[in-house]
This record gives sequence, C-alpha cells and structure tokens, in this order.
Amino acid sequence: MSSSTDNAASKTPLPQPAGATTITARHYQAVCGLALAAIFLVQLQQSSLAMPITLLANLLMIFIGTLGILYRVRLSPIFTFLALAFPLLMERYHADQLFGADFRNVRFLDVADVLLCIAMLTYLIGQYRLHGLWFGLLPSDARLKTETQARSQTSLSAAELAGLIFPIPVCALLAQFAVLALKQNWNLVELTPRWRQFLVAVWAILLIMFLAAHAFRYWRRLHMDRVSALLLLQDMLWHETRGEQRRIQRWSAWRKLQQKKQSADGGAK
Amino acid sequence: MLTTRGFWFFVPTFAVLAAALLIGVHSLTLICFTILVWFFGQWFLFQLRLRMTLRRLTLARTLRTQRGEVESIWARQKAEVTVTLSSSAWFALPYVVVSERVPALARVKEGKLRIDGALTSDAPMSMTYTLTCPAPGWLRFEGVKIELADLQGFFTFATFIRGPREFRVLPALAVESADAPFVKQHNVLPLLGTHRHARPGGSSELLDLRDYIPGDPPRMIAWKVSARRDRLITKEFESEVPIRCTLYLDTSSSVRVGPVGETALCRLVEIAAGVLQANTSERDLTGLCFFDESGVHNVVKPGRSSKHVLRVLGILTDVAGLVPRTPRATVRELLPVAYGLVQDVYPEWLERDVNQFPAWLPFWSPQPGWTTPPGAPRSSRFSPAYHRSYRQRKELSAILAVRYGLGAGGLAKLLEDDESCSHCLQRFLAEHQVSFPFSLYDQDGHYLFAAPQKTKVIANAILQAVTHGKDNELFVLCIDLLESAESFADLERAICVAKTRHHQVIVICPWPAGIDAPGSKPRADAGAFQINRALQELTTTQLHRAFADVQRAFGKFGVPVFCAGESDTVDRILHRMRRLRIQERGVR
Repeated sequence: MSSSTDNAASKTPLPQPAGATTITARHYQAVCGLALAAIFLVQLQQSSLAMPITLLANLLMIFIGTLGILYRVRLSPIFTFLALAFPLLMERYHADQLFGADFRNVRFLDVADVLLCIAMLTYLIGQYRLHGLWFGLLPSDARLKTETQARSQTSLSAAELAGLIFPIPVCALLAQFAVLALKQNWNLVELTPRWRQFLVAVWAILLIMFLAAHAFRYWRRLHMDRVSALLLLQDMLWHETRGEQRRIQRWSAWRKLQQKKQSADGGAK
Repeated sequence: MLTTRGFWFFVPTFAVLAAALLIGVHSLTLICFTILVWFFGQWFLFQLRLRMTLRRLTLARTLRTQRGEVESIWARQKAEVTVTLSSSAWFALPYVVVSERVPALARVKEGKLRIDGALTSDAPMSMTYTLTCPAPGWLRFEGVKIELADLQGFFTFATFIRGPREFRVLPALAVESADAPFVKQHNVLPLLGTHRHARPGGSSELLDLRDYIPGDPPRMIAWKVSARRDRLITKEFESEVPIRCTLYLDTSSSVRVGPVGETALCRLVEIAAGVLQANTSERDLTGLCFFDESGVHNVVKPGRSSKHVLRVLGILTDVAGLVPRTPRATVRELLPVAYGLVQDVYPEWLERDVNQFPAWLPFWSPQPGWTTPPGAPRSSRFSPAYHRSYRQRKELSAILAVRYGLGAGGLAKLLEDDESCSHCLQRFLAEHQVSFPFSLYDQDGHYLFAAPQKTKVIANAILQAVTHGKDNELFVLCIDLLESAESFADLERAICVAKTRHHQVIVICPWPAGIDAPGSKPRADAGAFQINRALQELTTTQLHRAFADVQRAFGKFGVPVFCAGESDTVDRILHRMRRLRIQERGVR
C-alpha cells in the first residue's frame, strides 16, 4: 500500500461491517448478570441444606457479584467465588461429620454440574474483562510512577465476546474428564483417598506447568536472535571463567591507574 | 509474565481446589478444575501467540510535511509521523498497546503516542502525531514499545520492536536575515558576489590614472587624457574580489552541555547556517572550520555553490547532535541512565536466560579500592544500593561487550575497569542521543570543560588561514571563552596578525539556554524556589561578568564580541560583512 493511502487510512476510522454491533462494558455486565442468575438457580436446585439457609447463602453471593458488576470493586470476582465455595465446603464438611465421609460421590457429565461450571467461569471471565475496561490490563511501569491506563472502548470487538462461546464448554468438559481421572483408585501411597487425590492434583498441576514452561523456554532459545545468542554464550563463558578473568582484569585496571598516576606525578615535577 | 491479578486469581482457586479435594466437594472440585483448565489454556495460548507472532511483527514509519513524504526536515518545521505496526502471523494478538518512543530532539505538538487494540494480519495498528524539532540534528526513532496482554489481564509481555530510522533536521533558514535592507551607495553596483576593492584589477570600474609603463596593454591607454597631457596615461581599474567569511565553530564538550536540542552548540549551528544562507544569497563565499581542544577536525574551504551549501548544512546537522563526553564521568552516574535506556529499548537482553547475575557476587568479590579511580564514590558490599549498581553494571557490561565486539574478556574488563566502562557507557548513550547528568565544576569550583588548549588550536587555525587567505576575509570565531578568560594570549596574537592583514574578526560567545543574555531584561521566574532563583541569579551574574571580560579583552583590538543567546546575532554578522564591503568603497 502506498504511503499516502496509509496516511489516509490512519486518519479515517476503520470501516465497520454492516450491522456490526458496538460492544461496550454493558455487554459484559449483562453476561455477568446472566451467569450470576444461572449460578443462583443451579445452587438453589442442588443444595441439600434447608431452603432459608441456601437462599441466604446464595443471596449473599449474588449481592457480592452484583456489587462487582455495578461498581468498580477490584476483589469482587474472588469474593464471589469464595462466597460460592464457602457454603459448599461447609455443607460437605457437616455432612461428613454427621454421616461419615462419602467417597462414592462421583457424578460424570451431570447437567447441573456442567451448567454451574460454565456459569461460574463465564462470570469470572466477564468480571475480569470488566476490570480490564475499568482498571486496565497492563501493570503500571514502576519507573514512571504513572497510573495504569484503562483499556480503551475502541479496542472492544464483537469477536472477543463471541470467542467466549466455544472455550467455556470445552473447559467444563475437560474438567469433567480430569475429575473422572482423579477419582480413579490411584493406589500409589498408603494415604486416604482424598489426600491421594489432592497429591495427584498438585503434582499434575506442577508437572504440567514445569514441562510447558521448559518447552516454551526451549522454543525461545531455538529462535534466539544473533545478539541474544552471543550474550548467552558470553554469559556462560563468564560464569565458567569468572575467577581468572576477574584477576586478570583487576590487575590490568590497577596497572592502568598506576601508569596514570605516574604520568601525572611526572607532569607535576 | 504472570501479573498480580493473575497470581491472585490462581492462588485462591488453587486453595479452594485443595479444600474441595480434601473435604470432598465434587461440584466445587469441578468448578475449580474448569477454572484451572481455562487458566492454563489461556497461558498456553498466550505463550503460543507470543512465540508465533513476535518474530513476524514489522514496523513502518513515515515522516510527512506539506511536500509529502520526506527524509529530512527543517528545524521548527511541523512534520507528521505515521507509525504502522503490522503482523504477518496467522495468530491474532487480542490486546496490544503500542507506545511510541519519542526522540530526544522532537517536541510533540498533537496526536496520540499510545494506541491499543487487537492486532491481526489484515488490520495493522497505526498512529499519527505531529512534531517539531527546536534545533538541528538527527531525529532518531528507535522503535515502539509493545505490551501484550490477554483480555483478562492475567498475563502480560512487554518488548520493544526496534526499527531505527534517522531523519536529518536541517538548521532553520534565517529568511529574515537574508532579506535585511541593504543601503545602496553607488549607482553602478557590481554583480552579486563581487565587491569592488581599491586595488588595481580587472573590473570595469575606473580606479586611477597613471603614467604609461612599457608593457601596458594598448587598450588600457586613456587616449583623451594622454592627448590633453601630451604623454601616455594608462587607466587602472578596480579589483573585484568576493568577500569570504570563514566560521570557526567550537565543538568541544563545553558547548555540548545541556539537554538534546537545547545546547549552546545548536544555537551556534543555527547562527552558522543563517550566515551561510545569507552569504549564499549575496553570492559571497562561506567556509567552515570545526575545532575542539584536541585540534581542528574538519575544514570546509569557502564556497558558494548550492552543492557547497548542502554539504555544509549536512556537516552542521551532524555537529549539532553531538553530546558531551567527559573522562571524569563516574560509572555510578552513568549506570542508571544507561540501564533505563536498555530497559526501554533492549529489554530482551536483560532477561535472566541470557544475562544472568549471581546475587551473591557483590558479597564475594566487590570492587577493590586499588582498582577504583581516585575520587570515585565507594560503598559497602552490604549496601542494597551497591548490589543494585553491581547488577546493573554486570548486565550492561555484558551487553556493551557484545555490542562493541570486545571479545571473550570484554565483560570482565568492563566490570573491573572503570575508565573503559565509562567510555563505553558514554558511547552507548551518545549513539542513542541520551544525555546524562555530570558535574560541571570540580570540588575547588573549577570549570571541568574549560579546555584552555582550544585557544591555541584556533589561534593556529587563524594564522594558517591568514597565511593562505585572500583579501576581504571575515573570520567569525564561535568559541566558548567565558570560563577560560586567562588564556587568551595566543588568540590575541593571532587576531592581531589577522587585523594587520586587513581582515575582520568577530567573536561569538556561545550562551547556555535558560540564562538571560547580557543586556536583556531579566525574566520573572516567580514559580521557582528561592534557592533555585538565587543560584540562577548567581550563575547569570558570573556569566555576564565573564562576557564583559571577554568583550574588554578583544575590544582592545577592535574585535566585537557578540552573545550567541541574542536573537539578532546573525544580523550583526551580516552587518559586519556589509561594513566590510562599504569600507572598501569608502577608500575611494
């Protein structure tokens, strides 16, 4: 494209396709609201606690979630998640105290579970994207001591909202398979099934993170530019021969200083 | 890579997952697993996008004026910069922030320097802004900083897309000086560029009549006068020679001090360019000579052709962008500035993967006192500031050793030898047009950039010019003499020789920006702190006194001394040139 055309293009706004919807923060607020409503309904249906307690616990979660949607509260997604998790944990804990631990509780592809997972993830994604619009996506530069700049409204596109449709159900399904695999009878060490599951989950997460990080690191090294590769080699050499190099260069620096001093003294005389 | 937001998302989720697994809440385990699967998916996708896209990003930059796309602009001319970042990768980047790194010489007038949005192969990101340059020099664009993030703000990556482009900023044309009124004193004016001279020559203007000497050409005989006097009389005509103006420009570090574009040297270059342009319009010859304390560096013989003008303007532009160099700058002063530059422009060279620093090294082998130059500050090996400075020095030494090809021992050399390290750091900063703070005066109050040797250098240059010079020459000495008032003897002798050979000499004293010129009305700086105001007044008084001393010293020989800080310096030089022409006519 010619430079004049480039210039013209930079001045004029990009042509929007006919019928294109302009995405704003309100769309994400609506998505979050719908997700919260879905969580509330599924929770009401699933809970084994008395109705008033369930209602109260879920209303608290709805209240915190709605606050996060309407007002700019930074920690609201985590609090909403904890508000959902805490009653569930308490409910299970009390049930175990009363009736003994139940290890047969494995449901695979239960619609309510899948719906709950989808709704929770949708809420969290929507909420964090709202945070991007309100507080910015990038951390501020500590050297400049400036405020973080919020994401601009013009950078929003319908494609990013549409992009939510496919990955969320896939993640929910993958989680179902992961839990199914975890609940298998892994007889690795003599531990209770729950501790065994916990250790397997922790090790799996750590292993995946470690392997993926090293794979990407190796990939980055494969595509390193010439100067970075030279830096890497020089750094390795320096680390290997640091002591010898330090002695030689210190002697050289000392000699240079001495020569300078002698020439200054000679000049003064 | 992982932001604080991402960290505080991952930790509670992981904690809840642990609790859910240990207590045995199936639905909560599922939710936590869904969130974690999505989180790791996002991370994987972010890394994949990063690795696939970064190498396929290209940066294009254009500079446009009213004439269209240009490669050079004039100082104080408005120009529009368009930066386009495009990607040829198959993957799209969901959120990119592109921030322009504005050159030190540029002053942004309007437009945005930061844009954000998605970057795809069919929709490049583009930003346009307008800038001007207050002074001549080189407009060096390093590239743009890009920051990538996922749409939730959990993962970020910042890098710098380098696309160095340099545009020449020519000195602003002093049109008003060229159009200055010229008092016509004769009805018959010579052609432009030739000036009558009261010596016999070959022009058409009659100078004198004399007796015929055998060998005189017959066509020079004044027949009517010969008939009247009854002996042969020969006509003598005026000589027509062009007036030459040679500018001696001081390029020592003392005139380079100051922010980029606001140095005394920039003003000298503007003056030189103004004189050059005005002389060229009069078809007078202009020469140039650059010198500093180490000697004469570049001599351009007087000329007046357009090719000569362009050549001189080019040299002046190169000179205007020079930054000061001082052997006294300590590594500790230079390190933070250079490190900040590397963080901005070469962030990938500071990564642990390629430039690692062992944290225990400052404890184990701090720089010993016997390799530290006298006067350099020293710190304890246990101080955090020393650790920070040691780490910065090691990382910068590694980068500079590779950049300047210092070989296998280069890193250790720069790490241990302060002089070499300071030299390389100054070179690195100068290449990127970054000025750094340094002391102007030593502990005894002596000016560190005085360089008294330069008066000897310029004296020799003047004597050489006088030896080879023609008549009617004007020497304009743009030299910083304010802080070296006691070392004028050589220069005074050279000026005396020039004056005895009927040359004209003018001295222009470079003047620091922000200081009131002698004779000007002091600026009311009400906003400044009292101590700052007092210091400013003290400096101004000192400089005015030094300027008066220089004026007095050269006034004895009839050499005018002007201050470069005044707006009419070019006019004064041109006025002197006009006087030179008129003076010759007045002889008649």
